[in-house]
Amino acid sequence: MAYRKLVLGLSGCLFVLVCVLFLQADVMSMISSSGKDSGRADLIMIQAIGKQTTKQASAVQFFHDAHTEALAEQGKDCAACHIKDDRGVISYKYMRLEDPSASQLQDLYHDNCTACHAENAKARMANPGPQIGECRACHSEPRDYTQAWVSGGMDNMLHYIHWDSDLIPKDEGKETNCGQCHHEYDEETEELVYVQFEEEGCRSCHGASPKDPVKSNLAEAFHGQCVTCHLDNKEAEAERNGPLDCASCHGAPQRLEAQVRMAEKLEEMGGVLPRLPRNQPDAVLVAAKLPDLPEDATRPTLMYPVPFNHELHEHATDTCRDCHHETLKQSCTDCHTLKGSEQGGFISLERAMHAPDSKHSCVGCHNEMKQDPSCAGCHAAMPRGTEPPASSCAVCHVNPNILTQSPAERQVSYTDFTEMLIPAQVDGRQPASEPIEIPEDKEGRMALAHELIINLRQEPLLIAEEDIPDIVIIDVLANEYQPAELPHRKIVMSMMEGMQDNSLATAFHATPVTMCQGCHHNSPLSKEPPSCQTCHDERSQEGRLGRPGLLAAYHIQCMSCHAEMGLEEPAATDCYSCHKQIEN
Amino acid sequence: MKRRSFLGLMGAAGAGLAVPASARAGVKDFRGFLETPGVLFDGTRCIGCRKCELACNQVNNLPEPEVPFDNLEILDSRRRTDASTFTVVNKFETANGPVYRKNQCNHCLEPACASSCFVAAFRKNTDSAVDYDDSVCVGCRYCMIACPFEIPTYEYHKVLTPRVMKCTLCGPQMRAGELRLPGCVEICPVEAMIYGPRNELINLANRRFKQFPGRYVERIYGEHEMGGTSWMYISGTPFRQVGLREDLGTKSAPELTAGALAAVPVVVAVWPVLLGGIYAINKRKEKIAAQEQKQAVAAAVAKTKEEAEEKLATSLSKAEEAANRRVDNEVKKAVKEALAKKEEELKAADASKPDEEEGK
Repeated sequence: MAYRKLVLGLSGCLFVLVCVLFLQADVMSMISSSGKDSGRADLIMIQAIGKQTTKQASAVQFFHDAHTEALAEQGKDCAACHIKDDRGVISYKYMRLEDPSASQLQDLYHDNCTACHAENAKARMANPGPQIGECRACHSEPRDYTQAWVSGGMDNMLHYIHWDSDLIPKDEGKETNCGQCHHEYDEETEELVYVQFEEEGCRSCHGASPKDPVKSNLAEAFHGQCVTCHLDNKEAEAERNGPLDCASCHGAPQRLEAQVRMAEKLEEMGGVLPRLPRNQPDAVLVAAKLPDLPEDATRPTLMYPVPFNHELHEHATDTCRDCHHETLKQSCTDCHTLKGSEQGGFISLERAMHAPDSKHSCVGCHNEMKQDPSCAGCHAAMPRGTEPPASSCAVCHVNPNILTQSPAERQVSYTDFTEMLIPAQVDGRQPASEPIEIPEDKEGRMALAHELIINLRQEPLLIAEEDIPDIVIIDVLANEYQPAELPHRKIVMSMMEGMQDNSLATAFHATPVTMCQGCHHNSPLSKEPPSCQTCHDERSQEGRLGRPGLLAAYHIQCMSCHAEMGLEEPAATDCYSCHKQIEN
Repeated sequence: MKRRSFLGLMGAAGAGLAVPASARAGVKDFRGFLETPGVLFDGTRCIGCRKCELACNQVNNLPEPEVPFDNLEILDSRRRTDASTFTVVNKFETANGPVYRKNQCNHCLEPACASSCFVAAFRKNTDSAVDYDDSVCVGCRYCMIACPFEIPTYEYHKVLTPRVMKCTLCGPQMRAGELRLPGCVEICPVEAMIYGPRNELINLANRRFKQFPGRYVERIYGEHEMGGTSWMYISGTPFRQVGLREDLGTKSAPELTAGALAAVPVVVAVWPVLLGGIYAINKRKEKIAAQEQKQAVAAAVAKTKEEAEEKLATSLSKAEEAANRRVDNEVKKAVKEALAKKEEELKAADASKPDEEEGK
């Protein structure tokens, strides 16, 4: 009998074991998916346990804006919860300047939160907030909301609103008010001072964690600076005071709204923002810095310098930081050397300027610009390789000698990019003298760059109207529909109109027929490109995998262009707007 | 239980469990037949025109649909394939506008429908099509349950000859030379589908990822899903958002079930053997114990008997001895008495002798 029990037990164990082995095969396991998208910009997790070694209670989900609003109704402001330091800067932290120990922090929250709520209850408010003893009202498990906030960056328009504002007092003896926000640390006097024309972005000093002598991190710096000023303005009952809630700066929908408002404002101003009063150059000559080479060393191959229109690019970017990502006080070539340096993250000058997918590089930014609907019709369909086409080098890298040439001599072949290299000596040794003289001083370089920019093409190169075929008949589907009439000239003319004021297109569409390549791709530049049938035939897909047949070539080209350019008429699936029904 | 017998049992159990493990190891990391044809669907090209549905309907001689194929309003509702519709295009609203995806049989490299079918009505053909043979089908519809893409459908309205219906990749028509491409692929006005060798399609997709950075989710759905499918998808929106399951893993259905199926012998064969063995061992033990007891009893009885006999023998011999002794004594006594009597007679005779001698 005793054995029977044992056998039963043993069989049970084995059965469970086998079950586990079955389940291990993952037949049953499925990944469940549930997404929460009720994100709030003002959700703060109060988590004193971050400093504690044992978990004591659930972190508190605190809705900052709900409190700001409630306090405003009672006539209170930020000062109800945040204190100011001796310089009058409001602290980013609740009721304290510095973090005390965990237990003190816990007491600080418990005492102050409940005291305020108790007062509210005494004043018989409708919603006084959780009272002493209602622990779980605050320390509850996370509810339906998630923390979701966007970076409250200062773009050019927002910057302009500030530096143009009369509400912000002018700097002493100056016409500008930049010194009210921008400061520098003077090591000698150990004070924050303002130096005009040396203004830096906040991020260049205030990082994620402050490094001596910087005292506050980025969040503290921004909140201390912005909120203090907005609050002061409110107390002074100024005309406008700027936001004091979280969502206005950090809420994604609110930011979008603000961007729309600012775009409207910019429109009112004529679409051009005034330039920043920082004495920045109008033009810059970007040229690689030659490393110190021994006398007999071979000089590395260099490209001609790039005359960079700084003023033009200022208007095309959102912030200075788009290009000057670390600091405004150094030139690109200081960190990004020919071979790369530790300071520049070993990103060589060539990569820094040409990396196709970097936000900071020239090519990367120009690629972004191609997503504009008026450009995307053609450019979205073009394969974007890892490198810009060789023929485009000459657009930026200009031989300064052209200034001494007559316009006829200046005709360069855009197909031969090697012309844009500063030639090394034939035997590969360093030449006796540089073929071109690049001024060493800042003013000289600026002047040269300016002169070169003036000599650049100002008007887009466009094909003459009479050279554009008017109507093109496409009758591939003639057995199903009437032949489609492509209003070829009308399309080209409207595209040329869109290009008229586009300096990027003016610079990079190097010939009158460059824009024809948008549709007549892969064929030689010509006024009379070969027909689509030359490459796109009607054979079966096999044997030309990846190259569309004629039917698909037309449809893909026309429809994707209409979609990318945001043309509502005709819709991609509205067959009959192109293909008229055959009349019986 | 004794330690030895416990270890013995565990050893037996281990040997039984080793069977599925070795069977699982037998399944190689199979990557499919690269040279076989397949179809690549590019979700960034599909315009939701429903021409593929039309072509499929015509090629397969399917009944006329309730909603005509040029009615695009039907795209607003989510549809799936049924017995008279081998393919459907669904519209998915995204932040960047509507995205369309065609749905049909994916023609898995190792189809779950085929591995689940116990009459082998499904077969993966060399031209990649997963063929269905209605002459052997018993209508159990295991295939419908097995398919992770919910593709096979059933002719519920037919009473006597219901069939399982699904996309055929136009295999029959192409084998017969009626078509050069699957109907849907051929008609697509934007070549959202490309038919060709599977490995070339994978290369083509990767080339598109490289040429148009940011346009695609840089992964090919169906390259590895469920062990790979002949029909593959690339998309600009996450696959889950266009109704493609991303929880299927990269193992094929047979590979997934091989472990479980290989474990069947454990249950069916090894289990009775194991339990039977344990029973037999115990039974034998009991038998041996009984035997031993019997032997012991017998031995004891024999011993007692022997002892008794010995005792008896001793007593008997003793008794005999005593009796003999008594007989001897009696004999001796009788002899003695006889001798004494004789002596007396002799004495008496002596007294009368001279008489006798005299008388002589």
